Amino acid sequence: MSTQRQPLENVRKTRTTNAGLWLDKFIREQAREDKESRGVLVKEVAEIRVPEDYARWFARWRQTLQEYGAECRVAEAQGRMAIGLGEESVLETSVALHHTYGIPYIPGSALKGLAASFARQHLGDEWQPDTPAYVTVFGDTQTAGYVTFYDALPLPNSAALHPDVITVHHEKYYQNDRTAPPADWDDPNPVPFLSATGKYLIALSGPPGWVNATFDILKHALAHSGIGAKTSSSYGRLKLESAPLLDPDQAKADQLIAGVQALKPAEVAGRIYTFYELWRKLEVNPVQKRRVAETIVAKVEEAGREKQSRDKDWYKELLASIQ
Amino acid sequence: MMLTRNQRYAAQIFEQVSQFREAPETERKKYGSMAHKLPVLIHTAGLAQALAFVDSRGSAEQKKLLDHIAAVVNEPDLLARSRTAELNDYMRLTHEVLAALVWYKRFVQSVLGIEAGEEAEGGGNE
Amino acid sequence: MNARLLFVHALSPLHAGTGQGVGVIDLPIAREKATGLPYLPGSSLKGTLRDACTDDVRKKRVFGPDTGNASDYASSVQFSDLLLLLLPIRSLAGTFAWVTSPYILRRLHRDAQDAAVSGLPSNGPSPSADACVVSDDGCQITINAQVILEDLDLTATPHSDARGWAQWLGSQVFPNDTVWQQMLTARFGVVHDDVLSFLLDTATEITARIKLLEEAKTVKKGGLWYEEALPTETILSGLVVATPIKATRDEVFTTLTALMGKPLQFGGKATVGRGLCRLQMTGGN
Repeated sequence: MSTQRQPLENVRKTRTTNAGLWLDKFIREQAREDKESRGVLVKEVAEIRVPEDYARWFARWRQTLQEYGAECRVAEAQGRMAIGLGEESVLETSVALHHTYGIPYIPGSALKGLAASFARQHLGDEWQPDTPAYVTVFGDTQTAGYVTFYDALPLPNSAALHPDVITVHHEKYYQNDRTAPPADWDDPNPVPFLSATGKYLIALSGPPGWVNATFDILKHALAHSGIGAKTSSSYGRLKLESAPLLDPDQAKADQLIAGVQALKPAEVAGRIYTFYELWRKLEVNPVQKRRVAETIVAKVEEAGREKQSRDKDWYKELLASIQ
Repeated sequence: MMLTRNQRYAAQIFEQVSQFREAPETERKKYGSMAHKLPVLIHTAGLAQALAFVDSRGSAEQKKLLDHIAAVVNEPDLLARSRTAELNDYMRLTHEVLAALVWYKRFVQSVLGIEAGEEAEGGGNE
Repeated sequence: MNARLLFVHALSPLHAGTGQGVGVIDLPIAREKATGLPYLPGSSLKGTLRDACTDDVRKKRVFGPDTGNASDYASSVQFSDLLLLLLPIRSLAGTFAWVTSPYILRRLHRDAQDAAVSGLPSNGPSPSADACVVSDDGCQITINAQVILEDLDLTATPHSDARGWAQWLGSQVFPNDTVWQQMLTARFGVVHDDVLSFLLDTATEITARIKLLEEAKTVKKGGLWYEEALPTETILSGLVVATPIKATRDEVFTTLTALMGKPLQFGGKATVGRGLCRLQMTGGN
């Protein structure tokens, strides 16, 4: 018999169903003797594709992080990850899915917890809970810590969920019935769960030196300790890129900025308008657009040509854009 | 004097939880940990699936908790009702169960001394 | 006009908390007593903007003196609490819906009048107790004439009033961004006030947090708790009012516009990335 609300019994998932909603609320039935529903549910959730609009949200997220001054680096899963496996669920296993978009992600709290425990265990006397370095990055009971660990979201079209299975040989023992010690004659009991793969945007903000040090810690922790559950079965390993993720828009803007900065004061009068035209045509996000405009205005000021430019429409347009 | 719903809940639930005061620790823990867990299960899985979970996978003590809740919200066949109720009844029922669980959670802590997550000790998924 | 309408768009979960829970969630978000609507306190907004202002002279003119000299003169700007406007709810179709209710839209309507914002739809959608009013054009959250939010089966009621509201809200919250305006129209849904209240009680983001014992990898006694947050894509709204004392009205709004050009962090749990928000101020023309 179904365990769902009757009005929902005939509901089928759609192409755009929230994967987390389907996982949490749409198991067909839960009876102990039912061997199918759990496996079917896990398979159905793994089939749901990343929503189309997620790429739009991700672009905004990345831009927001950049405007806020966070540094972003990409980490790629080397195998599968089991994050959030133990969260409360009628499936008895779970996986961390982004509430609104239903895609797998790595919670900032999990990254912070991993970095902190790796530091305590492997980085010696300077990184213990009462040392200045540790308190600066992770905080203590009185202070909050200066480094912010954002949720790591997958690059669009990189993340996937996979049906997976844990084989529990000693069911009774794991249900905390200590009176029944593990015995070899228990039936092996496969428990379905979801694991995730993909490339994730790890973002940290805070004082630059500490952010870099924290990225180093995370790089080693993700490579060697692993994040989430089943790390002893080599789950949860990620390779963190050492270089910050360069925004393609930023690269375009950098090129133009370098050109403007290379102008000698005497060249400004004759050539700055060309750079204004290039700036107008430049198709990049507002942050980068603004950076270029600021550079051009600064150059005009540096060349002492503010007075001559002040009433020109092109200069007013630049000023208005950085207001 | 008329008792508010909340006062009536509190009195009845205190009495129910107190029945486990002299029970062995394992039984107290099973009952108590489910009282902590159920609200969150209702949040994630919805009332119908959460109750079905306790009914099909829970221990005897945990099923007792379902009976207790059914008595408090005055729905003898709570499980079936949660599945068949129309939208507005379903929402009302969920509200009532969650309101009752606030008291279970509180009394399980104060009367039985069981904190959230205690069941997790020693057990694990690996 | 001295008032402006203010929108806050959460890019990560927003934990505007009360600190101590009386309900089943250990660390709940703050809710208005009378209505149960989640809100971000105006004081929290003002504090964050004040901190973000790097020009010390202007900071004092606009936001008032430092707390030590608070009695010298009053602040030139006031913020109302920012109330929930659109709550993202997991959906069977369209991934999530941006859900609101007639009561919330009425309050926004009132605020918009105070801020002399024009162009609001005159009719508020009024869904029946088991319906969800959606846009009659471009809606993506409907399937088989139903809107399924979490485990609620609502009857989809397409109506031009919903489209009108969605388009107006889109033009305010995402000005000059047609793609996001369409995303909002596609996901916009108005439910009965009782349904919204149910969703607020059961469909916010709940996260388990645990403190592990160092060596054993087991949970400490009392080391498991649940935190509530408004999910990513939540949108709140409220009013900013200039009260020209030291700073003129223009100086107040120019300063605020500049500060709101960048994202800001609100609410608790900042060190794990919560509460990163965009702000958008409109009206007054």
